[in-house]
Formats: sequence, C-alpha cells, structure tokens
Amino acid sequence: MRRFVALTSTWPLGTILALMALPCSGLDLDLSPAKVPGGEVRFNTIGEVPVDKMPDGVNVQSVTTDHYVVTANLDEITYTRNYGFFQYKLYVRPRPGTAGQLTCFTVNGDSIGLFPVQMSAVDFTVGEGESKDSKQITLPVISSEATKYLVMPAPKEPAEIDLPGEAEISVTIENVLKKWPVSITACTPPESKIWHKSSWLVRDASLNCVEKDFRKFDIRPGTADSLVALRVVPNSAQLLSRMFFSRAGGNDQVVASLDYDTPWGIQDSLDIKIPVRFVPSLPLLFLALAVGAALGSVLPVLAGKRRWSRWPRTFAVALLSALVVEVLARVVVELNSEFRLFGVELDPKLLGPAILIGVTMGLLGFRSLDLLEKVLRQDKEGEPKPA
Amino acid sequence: MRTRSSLACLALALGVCAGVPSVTLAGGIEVKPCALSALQSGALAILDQRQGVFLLSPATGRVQSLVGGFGFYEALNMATASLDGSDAIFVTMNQRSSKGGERAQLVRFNDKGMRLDAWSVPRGLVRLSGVAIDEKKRVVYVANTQPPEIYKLDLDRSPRGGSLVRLAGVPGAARLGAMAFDARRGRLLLADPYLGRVYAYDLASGRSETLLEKVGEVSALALDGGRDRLFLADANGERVLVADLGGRSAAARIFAQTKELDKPLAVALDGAGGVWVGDSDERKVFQFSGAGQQLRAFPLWAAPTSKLAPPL
Repeated sequence: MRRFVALTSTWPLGTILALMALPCSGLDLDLSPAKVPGGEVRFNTIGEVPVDKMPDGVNVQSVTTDHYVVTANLDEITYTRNYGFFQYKLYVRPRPGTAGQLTCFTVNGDSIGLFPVQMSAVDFTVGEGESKDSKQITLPVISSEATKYLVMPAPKEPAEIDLPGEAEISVTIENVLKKWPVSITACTPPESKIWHKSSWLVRDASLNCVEKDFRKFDIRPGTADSLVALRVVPNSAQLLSRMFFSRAGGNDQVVASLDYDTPWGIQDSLDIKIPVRFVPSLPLLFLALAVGAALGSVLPVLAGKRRWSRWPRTFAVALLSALVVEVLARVVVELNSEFRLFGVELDPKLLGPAILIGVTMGLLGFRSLDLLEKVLRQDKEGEPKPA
Repeated sequence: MRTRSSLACLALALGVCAGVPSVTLAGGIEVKPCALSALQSGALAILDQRQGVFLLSPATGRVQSLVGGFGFYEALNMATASLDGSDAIFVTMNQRSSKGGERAQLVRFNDKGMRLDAWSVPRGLVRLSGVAIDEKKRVVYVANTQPPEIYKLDLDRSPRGGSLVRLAGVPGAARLGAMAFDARRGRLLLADPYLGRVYAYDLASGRSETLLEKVGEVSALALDGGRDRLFLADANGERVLVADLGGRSAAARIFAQTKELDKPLAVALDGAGGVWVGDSDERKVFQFSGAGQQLRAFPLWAAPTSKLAPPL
C-alpha cells in the first residue's frame, strides 16, 4: 500500500505517519466491469472503513465466498450528480476462521452508454495479498446518461373542459423501472393566462381520497398509476371569446411538470402535456339558444309585421324548436356527420352556432306558431262534438 | 409557516448550543455549503450550488447573502484571492441540464457580490469544477471534470469575457474535482473523487503524478502552505483527512471524524490556523482547531435576498 511506503528505517517520521494513517484492513475488494446490452459499468474501489455492524435494511444482496460474506446494501446506492457516477457500499465480513473485521468498501460505478436499469451479475475478487476469493454478486447497474424513469402515456382524446366551470384531469404516470419505485418530490402547476386557478391533487390510494396539500409519494415499480390529477379553473371570458365560432380556438393543452427522484438519487422532471378542449357548458348553450331565439323572434315585431301580444308564445315555440334542432345537430355531429346551416358547417357545441340556431328558429318562430295553432285548430275541429 | 418557525427555533437552539451569539432567522433560507473560502475581512465565503454565495461572520455567526443565485447555472466550486487590494471571488458554474454541462463559465465577483467578469470554455461539453489561484502571478487555474483537463486564465492578459485556455490533460485521472495551488512547489493539487486520488501537476515540467490514493470521495482540498499540510474533505467517508506533504511520500490520516459530520463537501483554512468544514447535509459549518478538535458549529440560515445575479 502506498501510504506505508514512508515506513523506512532511514526516516523515523514515516513510522509516525504510518501509525497515524487511515485505518486499513489490508483487505481488497475489486469488481470487474459489468457488460450489458448497450453499454457497461466500470467499478473502482475508492476506500474502505472498518464498521461495527451492517446498516439496517432488507434490500441487500449477499454472496458467500470461501472466506468472506460480501453484502451490497442496495438502499445505499447514490448518484454523484456533480461528477456523474454512482456509488455503492459493499460490506465484507470474514467467515469464522478468517481473520479480519467487518469492513465497508465504497465502490464507484461509471456507466458508459445508454441502457435500462437492470440487475447484473458482477464478478469480484476479495481477499488479502495473493489469496483472493472470486465470485459474482448481483448489483443494479444504471446508466447516467439521460434516461426518463417516468413517462406519461399520451391521452387518446383531449380532455373536455366545460366553460365556465372547473375540471379535474386525471394524469396517468408510468414508472418504467420494473424493480424500484420512483418518488414524486414536487409538482409544478400549469402557468398560463388561460387558467384562472390551477393546482395538483394527490390521490391517496390507501385512503381513497384526494389531498390538496402536496406530499411526496411513490409510483410503484412497473406500474401506470393515476395518483395525481390537475384541477384547473379556466379563464372563461378569454376562452369563450376566442372559441365563438372556431373549434380550433377551443383546443389547447395543459402544461405542467412533476419532479421525481430515483432511489439512488437521480433527479429529473417529467413534463406533463395534456391536450384539452374547451366546450361551453349546457346551461351556457341553453342561454345562447335563448338569446338567439329571443333576437330572432323579436325582429318581426320590431319591423311592425307582427304584434307584441303574440311574441311570448312565439319565443317559447322558437326556443323549443331551437332546443330540438340543437339536440339533433349534436347527435348528427357525434355520429361523424356534418351539421350545416345556410351551407356553412357548424359545430353545435360552440356558442356562435348555438346563437345562430336560436336566431334562425326565432325568425321562423311566428310561422311555426301559426302552423302549430293551425294544427291544433284542425285537431279541435276534427274532434266529435259532445251530444 | 409553522414548520419554518419550528426550524428557525431549532436553528436558534443549535446556534445557542454551539455558542453562536446570533443567527439570521426571519424568513431565512437554508444554505447547503459546497465550497468555503476565508476572506481578508475575516468572513467566510460559503458557496451554495444553487442559492448563491453567502458570508458567515465567525464573530457573530450571522449569515448574509452576497450573491443571490446563478440563474440557469449551478455552481460547483469557488476560490478567493486578494487581488488589487480587495477580495475577488471566482466561481465555476455549469448550465443546469439533465444531459450534463453544456455551457460552463468561470465568474468573478467582488467582495460586494457584484459580478465583474465571466470566462467560458471555447468548445464542446465541459463541466468546470475546481478552481485555484496563483495570487502572485495573477493566474487562475480551473479543472474540468471530464475529460480531466486543466484550464488557465491569466488575469492580466486574458481579455474580459474571453475564453479559458487549455493548459493540460491529466493522464490516468477519471474526473477532476477540487483543486489547490501549491505555491512552494509550483504545482497544482487535483482531486479525483471518482478514483479517490489526489494528483500533483507540476506547472514547470507539465507532468502529473499520483500523490495520494484511496482517500475516498475527495470533494474539497485546502492547502496549509506554511505547515505543508493538505486537508481533504471525504464526503462519502464523512470525515476530513490531512496529508503531510513534507516527506518523501505523502500519507493521509484522519483529521476529523465526528458524529456531526455527515457530508463534508467543503474545507477552508483561516489565517489563524483554524480549519473550517462545510457540511452539505447538516447545513452547517464547523470550526476545528489545527489539531482537529471541533470548536464551534454554525447553522447556516440566511436572510433571503432580492439581489439576483443577472442571467449569464
């Protein structure tokens, strides 16, 4: 060992220095590179310290050689972010009959290439001087290159958000690690002028409830969980104005992020992008139909062609017929057909078309009322008179 | 608020226990020291990777913000020197990115926290780490993590806002971290936290050799030129080592290993022979005597500042 070089007869200070030098068992532990598809991890032992006992924990891998028991504590793997390597702690305990004491080795792991996290059998030698035991120990090998440990499956359909109102959008997050949980450490809510309010909700799977206050939680290994949701209150006035006629104006996306931490300390963030579509709520659509019907039905009266006395009934008939047309139009559009008014394709879920339907039905209101009254009169005349 | 108050009370209690007269608490922020350096004024400059540079007054225990954050960058190391009659603070910083350092700079601040100048590396992916200063020749040396290289900045010749000049690579090294300038021997001492080594790079011959081996995850170096002793912070080993450089061969021994030391990332020396150790996990600075006896502990709470460093 280099630090004992100073122990020479010609230089007494060396003796003093050697006595004061770092505690050293004389035991060596060397790990061979672990080769995996896509890369490899090289190991380097940087130091050892005698310890009294193994740390508590159940996540360990142990291997017994002829003279030693070698244990890796998988909970103690850390990532040194500043320098881009992983650090493992391995404990070597002499078996009965072998001299020595429990020693903790710090082994650095340097990854080369991009590969998924996996368990790998790593060859090692342990022992003093020329007498070395060889065996394999299974260790997790991790790539330090940019890897996403959490992913969000792309939603098939945009989430519909009623205006005005608030929506709770469930977010499914998948942990790509098959053996380790990933901790969500912080949530960044969406920041945009289109949101009046926005926040993250954490669903407590154990309590079957939703918590408003954020707390750190884990995504289980290899699962896709919907443990978080976004609660958003859209800025309705701004959105309604931009989506009066165009459906595209109602399409947007929620952009937020989740910070996460792996068991070995790699921190990253997952960008959340959820397509959303704003739609006017049913009460708002009814109001649009009513406004349209009122406008349409009042025009003939204002023009002096009809009397005010018949307007209330005309309005009621116009509103009723507008509702029927709106429902029919929505059914038509839902069935992948087109709804056209005066040759223009319209989306009946939007405010503009709803007002247009209302106005059209309002303009036809008096004629509809006349027709209705005529039908009702004919029915009455056709009825047999009482004896 | 309640949590903050509790933490503040805890910090106060710790401060009282440690004999600290007063600590800035109101609305304070916790400082995680990753580098320390003693200033001419007697204050201790503390570098927090993201939150900026802070000043600790050993007399009062007060922690004040000097530089409030680095924008999109995070700092890795710091060195101070007395230049032109005042303290100059040099900080290596790298752009925050999941892919590693894409842009890196050496930034000079004055003792008022003003950013005076910045120098970058002219090419490729770099991650600047250690920094050491030759005050006499007014030269700043900077280490790059990977590939392990040394860069040089001549303060009198390099243009403001220019580039660092590559001086040499360090064969055999894996990652370069902390650095110290050995004026007596005209060499740089370089830590390799991955291989657990310390190298000596001779500035005259351009040769490097391994000075110390198996010294753990060396995260900081501080050289006591008068006594020819090199202090090493072993972050993973939760201890501070000292190596006597005067002999034929350097050997490291334990200088301090207390229960309180959890992740010592920083070490600095003051003019009075005191050794200061910054612990990132404990959020404390410990003062040790030259013999390794712990004297005081300073909890690191600082008042927030609105003085943000401009984007670099």
